[in-house]
Amino acid sequence: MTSIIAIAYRRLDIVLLSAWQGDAAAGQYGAAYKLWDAVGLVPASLLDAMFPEMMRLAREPRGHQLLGRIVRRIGPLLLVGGLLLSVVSTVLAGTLMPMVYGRAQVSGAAVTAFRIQVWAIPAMFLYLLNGHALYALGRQRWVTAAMAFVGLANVGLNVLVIRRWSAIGVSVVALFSAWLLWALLSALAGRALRREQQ
Amino acid sequence: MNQAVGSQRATLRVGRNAAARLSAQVGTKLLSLLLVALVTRYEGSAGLGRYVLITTIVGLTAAVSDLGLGTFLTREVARERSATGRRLLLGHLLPLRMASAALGTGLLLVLTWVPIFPGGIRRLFSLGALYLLPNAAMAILGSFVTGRQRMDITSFIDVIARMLTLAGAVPALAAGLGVFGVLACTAAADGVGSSSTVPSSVAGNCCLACVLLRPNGPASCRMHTPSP
Repeated sequence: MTSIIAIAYRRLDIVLLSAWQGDAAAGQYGAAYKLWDAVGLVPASLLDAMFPEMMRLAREPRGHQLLGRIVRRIGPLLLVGGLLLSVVSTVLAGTLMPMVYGRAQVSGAAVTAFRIQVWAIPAMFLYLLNGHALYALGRQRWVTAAMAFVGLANVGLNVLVIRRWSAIGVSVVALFSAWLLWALLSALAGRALRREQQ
Repeated sequence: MNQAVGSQRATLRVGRNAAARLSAQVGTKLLSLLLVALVTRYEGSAGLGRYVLITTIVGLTAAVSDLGLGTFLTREVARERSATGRRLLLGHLLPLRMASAALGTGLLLVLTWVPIFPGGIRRLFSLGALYLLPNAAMAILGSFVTGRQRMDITSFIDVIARMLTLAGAVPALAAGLGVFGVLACTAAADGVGSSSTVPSSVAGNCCLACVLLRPNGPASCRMHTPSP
């Protein structure tokens, strides 16, 4: 169920965009999204590598306290790392997009869409950290519920923005959704850690 | 002594699996980006839009038609000690997974008649629908092999399948076959991947058993190979 919701949350926007704005708009968004996805490998790989250690800590007698401390200490570092990655990607977007897709094929809208989407990377670092912490604490259902909520909000907002703002609107909604998911998972992880420590 | 050796092997296995998974993720994402870049260069933004839409819908249908069978098979195969038991599990779940994929294919084929998307896209849906079958076979066999803790093999096959897709997509795009050609290459590559998953796993396990069971490791494997 979680994987279906995760795919739906991340990809339904392309389906809606294609249906309402056509192939070219979906292509512009898709080009930006695919490059964002490649940049997003950095947080995903880093957090995947941390996950087994988080699982081990959660099983130890006083591990929950340590896990809480790690989440609190690593969070700001990941935020700074994510912001740096976003700044670099925003600056390089004008060069990177034509280099990957060809100068003739890249429109200004695709570059702008990429510049907007890369600001979701700091949120991705943080929501993966909190999501992994919840998984380690055995609260998978909370993650699924949060993703379902954000997925619904994402679809609702896309329905409102796509007709008027096309790929740029979808990118802004994707950015908002990423930060909303972080806010929800961060609150849930904080609550789960407090409960475990009591 | 045996416990220490067992723990060392488990650590080695976990490390090898994690490294394989991570490098395969990086490899497949980069190959996928390369493919998308090629589609854009040959077919423009509109072509990329069609390609991304079809792969998204096929991905969503694949996730739904999986019904959690992949995760279930991985978990049960990992728990099952006997080879017969594992074979039985695969024997029961493979037809079930293929049936659910066939249902997904049917649903996508029905979608080709719904006038939500333009005609060109609807024709591509038919091919995307057929692509679900090799994709499902590769996924369920991959879950079986993952359950046997051979993520290195599934990761390797994933990367090879994406490389095959790319190798086929370049001439297909150059020949003017467009997104249709790329989707056909993806389906063919997954077909090759699924048909090589289990034989590779068996061969890989033989090699691993050889490395682990011989007292001197890989060197003694070479010593036992019959010389001409």
